[in-house]
Amino acid sequence: MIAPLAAVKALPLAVFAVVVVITLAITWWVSRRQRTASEYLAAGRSLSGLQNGLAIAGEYVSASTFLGVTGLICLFGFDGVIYLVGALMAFLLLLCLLAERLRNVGEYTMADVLSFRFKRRPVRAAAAVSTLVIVCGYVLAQLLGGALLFETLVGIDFTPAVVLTTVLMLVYVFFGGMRATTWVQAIKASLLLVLGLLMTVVVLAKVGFDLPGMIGDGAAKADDPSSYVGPGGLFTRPIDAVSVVVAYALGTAAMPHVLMRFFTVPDSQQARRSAQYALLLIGAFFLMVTILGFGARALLSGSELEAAGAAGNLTAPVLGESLGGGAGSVGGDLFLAVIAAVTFATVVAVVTGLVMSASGAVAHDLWANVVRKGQASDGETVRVARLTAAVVSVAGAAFTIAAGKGFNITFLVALVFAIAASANLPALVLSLAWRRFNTAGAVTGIVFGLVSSVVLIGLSPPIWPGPDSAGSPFPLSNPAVVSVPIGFIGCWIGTLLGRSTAEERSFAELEVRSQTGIGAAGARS
Amino acid sequence: MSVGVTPSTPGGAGAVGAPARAHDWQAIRALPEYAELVRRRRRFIGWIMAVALGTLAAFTVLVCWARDAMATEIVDGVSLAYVLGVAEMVLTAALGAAYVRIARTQYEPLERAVRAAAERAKDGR
Repeated sequence: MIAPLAAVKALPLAVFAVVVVITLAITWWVSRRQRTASEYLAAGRSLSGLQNGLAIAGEYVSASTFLGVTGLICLFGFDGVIYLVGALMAFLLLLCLLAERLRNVGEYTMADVLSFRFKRRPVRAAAAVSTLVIVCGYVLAQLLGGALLFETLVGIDFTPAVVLTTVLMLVYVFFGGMRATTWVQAIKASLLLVLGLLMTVVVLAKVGFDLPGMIGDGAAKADDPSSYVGPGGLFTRPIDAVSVVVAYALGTAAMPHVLMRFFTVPDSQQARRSAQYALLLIGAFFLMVTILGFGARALLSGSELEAAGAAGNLTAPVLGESLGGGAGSVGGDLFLAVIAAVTFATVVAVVTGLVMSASGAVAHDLWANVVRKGQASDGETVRVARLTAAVVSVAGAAFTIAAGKGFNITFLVALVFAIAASANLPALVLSLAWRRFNTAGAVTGIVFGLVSSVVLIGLSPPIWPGPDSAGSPFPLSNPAVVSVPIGFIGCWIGTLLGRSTAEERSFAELEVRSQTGIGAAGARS
Repeated sequence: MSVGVTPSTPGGAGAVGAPARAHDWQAIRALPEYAELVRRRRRFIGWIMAVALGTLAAFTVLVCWARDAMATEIVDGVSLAYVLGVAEMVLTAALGAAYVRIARTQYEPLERAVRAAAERAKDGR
């Protein structure tokens, strides 16, 4: 690892401890009101658009972009930027197509909206399974980031780092709930945005604000400068890039934990504002990340780049250390400590949010609605939610330890987004827009999308056992470009083969509710 | 077809908080304000999506299959690809801002009008 951190260092640990203590205090203080399901799962519908927008931004300015994409741009050049361009589009989709409608129609989870005019049990069950799969995958990616940071800060090994990160996260989830999670997310998002801005300014200052020159310097160190400043450094096959764009542009908008956040605001106007703030903040952050990625390549020495890991996951903290004065200097240590601690805390908050959405899916969708047929008490729902959180956390930790450090976080996240885009998005969009869509269509669509994406991931070159891309049955490293259409096809086939009568509620009702907000949960009118 | 009565269905505890009073959904759909709202929304969002997804698709195609062209450096080190990528992100944000403005100035008043008309219709029964 980074040489001077062979032993546990006091300064990073102190900064880290301060950040953790503050967030735990917030969690404890906020958690005293977590009695009702509405409080635990939806923060009592009392969050403002700005708070919620910051929290949503916090989901995305953490491990995946700050750590993963900075690393990808540093290592491979422009191709890393492609992830960002695709991802930002998803927020426009959320803003225009989903934010207001979700808040108008649903109660706590995405499955509320999906199952609105269909038979509840089969659709909720399918949506809950899809949510669980997606959450476990995303937890893996985030825990990887968190454990790597912990390892860097404290100097302990990967496996204990994963365990400790998981334990910390469980504390947040058990005592927190959606309100505490949101507070912590919003504060950390603000911190990380400020830090990112600071780093960007320092990087630019170091190169005399000559951005083109800086990129050129970095490119000169690459094997093929042309595919560093331009496309081709990472995606040797064009279709891989297409798949990633599809996965990021669609999947980001279909992630259950993000969709869940739209129910924490009082009405659809605030839902819209959340999406708007998220779009702006994340867009600004993405631009900063491109500068940090290129800057890292230009400014870091060979040994520093090595310290960032083979997959580049620690490029941003290492860059911070270097900007502060380099490894072993006071400034360097301080920068490293602060950046790593805040990023770590953000990662923990993101995983907490994920686990919350999984517990919401199981507690509200599966347990309260499917198993207990609507007869579950609030307290019971919260208990089931907490139990689910524990199980998902442990499973996630186990997977992370098994997977190890070799994967770039953004790559893993792209796979998870592919699953979300294939399983959730077709059914969600069609249930809002297609009159003829029915129960069978929704269930079939989710199943087709989920199974095809997961299977194709298993068959893809990075995952299929054996030497690199030798004889893996499926050629693409990201399945989205194939599995998303399969999801839509599943929706279509199911609709044609299923019965269209005996639906719970009419398309007319869904449309009116989604367009106007009449009858929305917790609404004033 | 009036299906507005709160269903005590298997949806039960998960049922969206529908008020206990009835809404005639088809009647609301027949309101002129409603038709106006839906028509305007569909058209505008349709345009936004066409521009957004169209430019994203164009960007993706260029970056995948016109690699040499995209790698040409506008200014030393800054490729055409990077410029277009940043431009696409800025465009995305701008389209979002446009939607928000229209939503505030056009759709919100229409939504309020529909809700008010729906309340009047319901109380009038």
